[in-house]
Amino acid sequence: MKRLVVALIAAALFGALCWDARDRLAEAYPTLWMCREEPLKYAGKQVWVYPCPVVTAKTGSFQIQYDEDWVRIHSPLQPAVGTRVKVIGTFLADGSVLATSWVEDNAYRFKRRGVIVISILVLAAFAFVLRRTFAWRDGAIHPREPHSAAALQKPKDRV
Amino acid sequence: MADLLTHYVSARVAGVGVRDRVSATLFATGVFLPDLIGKPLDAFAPYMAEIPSHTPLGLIFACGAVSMLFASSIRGRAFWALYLGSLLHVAFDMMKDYLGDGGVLLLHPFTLDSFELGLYRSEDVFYLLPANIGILAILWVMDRRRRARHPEVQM
Repeated sequence: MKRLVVALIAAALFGALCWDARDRLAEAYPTLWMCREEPLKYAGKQVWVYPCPVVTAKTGSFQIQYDEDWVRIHSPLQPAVGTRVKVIGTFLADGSVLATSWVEDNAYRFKRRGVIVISILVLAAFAFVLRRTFAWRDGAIHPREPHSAAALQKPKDRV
Repeated sequence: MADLLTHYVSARVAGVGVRDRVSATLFATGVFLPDLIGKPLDAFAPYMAEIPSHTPLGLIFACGAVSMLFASSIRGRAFWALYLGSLLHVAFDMMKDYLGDGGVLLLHPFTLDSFELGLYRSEDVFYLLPANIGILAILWVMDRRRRARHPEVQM
């Protein structure tokens, strides 16, 4: 019973932090979508734009397709039309972004899927290690074997 | 995020001196824990609600709750191994390059500042793949040799 109470208290405190993060961090680090919903409120905030395709480019700026919308990015350097770029910049009241940095990332989706596939394979393999190491018994997780660092001592060292 | 293979390799390298299989497994579990908690929250909870899964304070509570699942004989060890593993995960994520935006909100809720070291980019994990496999192979060989010297030990 005490174990359950402690677990619930710890989970509740973690939940309180999540609540705080949702409220304060979302305002401090708004998404581009949030900024475009309320441009005057978020003007001047820094935004991070995940890799989006470049649809047009001209001197001093280029446009990206963000979801169903086009967003103008002000930058002295232009990427080629058709490439994907991720952008860090300052949101402006007119709905555009003044880029502080951007990087071309054409294989974003492929790499993202690769990371997910590798991670799932690692987790699946690790599940076998967990099953071999621990067992659920009497309402708790127990080690499957005596866990003693002393087991590493050389036999002659043991009494 | 780095892929979980890179995180697992970091756990194996950092825990190379840990001879006890239970502690080593708990430590590796701790390295996975921030993503195991954070990714579902990222998918299903409101924007930014997942952040405490990658902060030292949030992980104290998360590891505290998870360690209560363990038997009393290993509960304390489970907490510390999970927590240290989780901190290693956060440290590895903080090494990533987030284009200067800062990726890890290390001191939330005390400050909303974010931090990054900018040492590698997310796509670099693919270049790290052969290195990761090589490191695991070396550790596996070391493990085999150690077991050959101490056949009574199950690592």
